[in-house]
Amino acid sequence: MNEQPVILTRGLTRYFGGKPAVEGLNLEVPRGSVFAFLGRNGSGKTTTIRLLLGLLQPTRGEGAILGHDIRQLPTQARARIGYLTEEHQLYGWMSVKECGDFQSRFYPRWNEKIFRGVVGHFHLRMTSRVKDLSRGERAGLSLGLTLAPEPELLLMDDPTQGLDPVACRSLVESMIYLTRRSDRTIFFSSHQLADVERVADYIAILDRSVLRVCCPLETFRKSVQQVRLRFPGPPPPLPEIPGLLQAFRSEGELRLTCVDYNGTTEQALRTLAPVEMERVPISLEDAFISYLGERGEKSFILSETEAQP
Amino acid sequence: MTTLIRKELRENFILAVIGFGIFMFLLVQSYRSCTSFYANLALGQSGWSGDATIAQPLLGSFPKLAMVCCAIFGAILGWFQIHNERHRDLWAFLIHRPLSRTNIFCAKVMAGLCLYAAGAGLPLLGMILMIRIPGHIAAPFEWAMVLPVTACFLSGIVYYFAGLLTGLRQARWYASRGLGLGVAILVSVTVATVPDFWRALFLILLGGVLVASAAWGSFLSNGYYNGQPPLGRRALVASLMFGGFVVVMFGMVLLGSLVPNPFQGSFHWSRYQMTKDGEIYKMDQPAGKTLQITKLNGTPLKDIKTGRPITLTDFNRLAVSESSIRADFEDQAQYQKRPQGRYVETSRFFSLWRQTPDTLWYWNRNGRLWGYDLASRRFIGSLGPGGFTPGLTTGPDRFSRKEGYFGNGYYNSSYPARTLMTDNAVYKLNFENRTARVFFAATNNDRIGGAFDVSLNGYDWNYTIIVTREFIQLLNPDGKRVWQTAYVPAYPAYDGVAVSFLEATNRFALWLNANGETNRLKGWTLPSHVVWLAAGQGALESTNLPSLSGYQGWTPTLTERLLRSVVPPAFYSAPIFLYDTDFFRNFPWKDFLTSVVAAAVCAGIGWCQGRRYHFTVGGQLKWAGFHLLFGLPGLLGFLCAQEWPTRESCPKCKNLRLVDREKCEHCGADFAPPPRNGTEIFEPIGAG
Repeated sequence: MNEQPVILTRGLTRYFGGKPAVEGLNLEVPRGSVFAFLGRNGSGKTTTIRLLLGLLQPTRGEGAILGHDIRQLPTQARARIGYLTEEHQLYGWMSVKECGDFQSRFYPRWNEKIFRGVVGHFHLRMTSRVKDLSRGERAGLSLGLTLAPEPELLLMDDPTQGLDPVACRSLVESMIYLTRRSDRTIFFSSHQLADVERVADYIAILDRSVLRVCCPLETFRKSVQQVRLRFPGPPPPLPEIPGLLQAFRSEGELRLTCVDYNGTTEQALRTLAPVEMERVPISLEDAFISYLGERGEKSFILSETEAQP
Repeated sequence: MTTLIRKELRENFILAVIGFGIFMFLLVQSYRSCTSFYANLALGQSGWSGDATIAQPLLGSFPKLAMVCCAIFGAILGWFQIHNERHRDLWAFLIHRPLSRTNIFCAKVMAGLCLYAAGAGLPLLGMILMIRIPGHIAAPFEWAMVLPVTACFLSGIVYYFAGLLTGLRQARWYASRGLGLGVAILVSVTVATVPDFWRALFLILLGGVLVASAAWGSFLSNGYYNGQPPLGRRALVASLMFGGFVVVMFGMVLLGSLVPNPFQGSFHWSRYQMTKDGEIYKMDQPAGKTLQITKLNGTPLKDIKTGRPITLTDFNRLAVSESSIRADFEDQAQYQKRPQGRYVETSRFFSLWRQTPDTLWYWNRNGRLWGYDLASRRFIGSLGPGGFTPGLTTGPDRFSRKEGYFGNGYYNSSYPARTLMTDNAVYKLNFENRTARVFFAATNNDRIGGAFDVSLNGYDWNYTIIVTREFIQLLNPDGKRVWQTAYVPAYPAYDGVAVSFLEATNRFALWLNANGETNRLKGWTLPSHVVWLAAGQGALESTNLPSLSGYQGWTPTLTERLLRSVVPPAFYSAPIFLYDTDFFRNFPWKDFLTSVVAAAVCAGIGWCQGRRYHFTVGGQLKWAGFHLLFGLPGLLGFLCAQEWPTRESCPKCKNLRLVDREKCEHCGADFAPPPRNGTEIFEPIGAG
């Protein structure tokens, strides 16, 4: 783990017009890890991946992938990187076999067994035309085309987007169990939090183009916590609480999700004089949603809800 | 790379098939209209206006069709080759592979050019070969006639690259995305107007390399300006500049037509005109004023009935019928070697000379009349001074062709020329017997410099004017001399010969006008010499008239003024190369100065923009030079090519700073990291 990171960025920024899509991104992805890249739609995940692959030029900042400058990625480096795109767009007029033949001619390390294995896993016929495949089947074919060159680094941009749960699970299984090797790094963005929980070693979260989280999954799990406060009547207004992600108010209860819950946070909460204060276990999915969801306070007190416009 | 070429070929094959089909259909239609025209001529169902381009589609309809079809097909093919893969993911699938982008681009281009050749080249080649086979087209064929069509075909390649560039550019459709097509349009226009094929080829090569480099650079940078190699950036700016030039010219024409015109465009000129009674009047057309017709003493000519100055219409009724000829004693062989017209013009190769019920006779540039049978559309033989031969002759048995101001290609179906000349004789042609009989022979020491058949009513042959080194004479159709007079003042200072046919029977006036260029060099001091003659009596009297410079100029309209002001200073040198013009003699200094001033304004605007975006001093100077050379189109190219980055307020110095710089260009401060909100979770990699 102390080797040079596979992906390294420093202040990587990309503007589209006057709006930053990715701002000041500092990211390190260790070799051999499964790295989940999370964020809501439009937070800059795809832009980041495209910047890393040199498909977009950064507005400022720098980055390296497999030790090469992302602005001038050499062809040898590209041979070591597999990229699975979001929508699995391929040449519709090609058959599955033709796709494999086409791709194989560019990669000296092409492994036909892997290609056929993945394609078989998705029950694809070699003679089927790409344009006739379902989205899930196309995703499987894309995965086969990406994995067969046996890449050192696999970049996957939300590969399960738009797939039904079965196809989604199938893709993730193939993706992880067929490819997991100690020398292979997988960097993927996804909205399937359960899958992330199952496979990722590290996570990074982009919030409105800014990186807010970059740590091992376990650290994230420990850092996001939920506290329930009980009050005899309506909960009092909240003071400023450091690291507060969300607060839910209901009759006689206040439920808070915080980052880095510690003594200072507890002291601040005690000033509210709750009759009871307890930590509540929170699933990773809830933690993600709290982190990625709307920040601030939400009220479930009927009178307050009705008073709102 | 072969794999990519194969993939491109297969992916876009259908476009080539469609292109081939449409082009072939249009060419066949054009060919059929040509052959049906011959059939109608043979049946006597239609006449011929004399337009020789109808006879040979390689010089008539094919180049026009090829110009339009190759341009559209090339541009669409190029654009589709990119557009098909412009989807973000498909583009990544294409680009992200262990192959350099240059190789991928080359594969695309190779496949594209093959498809272009198949879609546009094969139909043309097929039709050319068919025309080459005797019995299809009843007109002369030379391989050089293929050059106009070849130029159009090759121009399509520039459109192909422009299509690629249009597909690649990351710009708005209504902005600069399609500006690359401007280069192709300019290439088409110049290719159609330059005199020689080599110039056209050079322009196509130049335009093609320019747009191809711009497309290559854009391919390397996903269509953006930043990230391109220097060659690509320069080519892109130049392409956009040429595109900007086309847009600016179009805009100026539009503006000139919409805005009320304060400058009424008009010719200003002055010349002499003889009336039927032999009187000479002076006609003056000052710029923007009414025409003045005066007697030689300056008294205005008045209408006898109204007493007012006479109108042009009334004066034209009084004007005498006149035939002109320009004497030319150039060596016949030299004359025939010199190209007669541009490489795209029919007159460079042949012109229609006479149509008889069953034969078409063409004047060929080698000095013989070529006959084609209308029914079989085959070559039947050629007619020269020595008579008809079934084949072509390579000997000295040839006519020269100096029949008057109209020069080569002159043809009038209702009044065809009856004679042709050599250096020593004028021959009367008989097409029914296919013979040439001597009509006039020069004396031993004399030489013929021009002969012209005159028709006073537009149908009948009344006279033939013959100019030799020593004499000017008028002959009737029987070959009998009407009058003869010495050619004084002589050639070469006086090469303009005109004969006025006066109302009084057998009365004529002969005008000897100085060569325009010689007269200009002598400060318009060479007078016009007029001689009044009578049949059988020769010269009666003569006079010299002060020289008039004839056409004196044109007052430009608002549109013309606007157009001239936006032509970049660098473009003023283009005519030297393109059209062999006498650069310094005709140089429009006034327009050039206007253009320089406009370019200087553009350089100022460019400088301000450069300062605003903190270009380096070297960069600023280079751009200033560019704007001074290329004016408004250059400024447009500059503005369209650059991706102007957003500017944000610097938290330290509060000035607006560019977001694409690592440090503030005002205070040198780094960009601050995004502000924290207290929810960050970071752990150094490897700490776990």
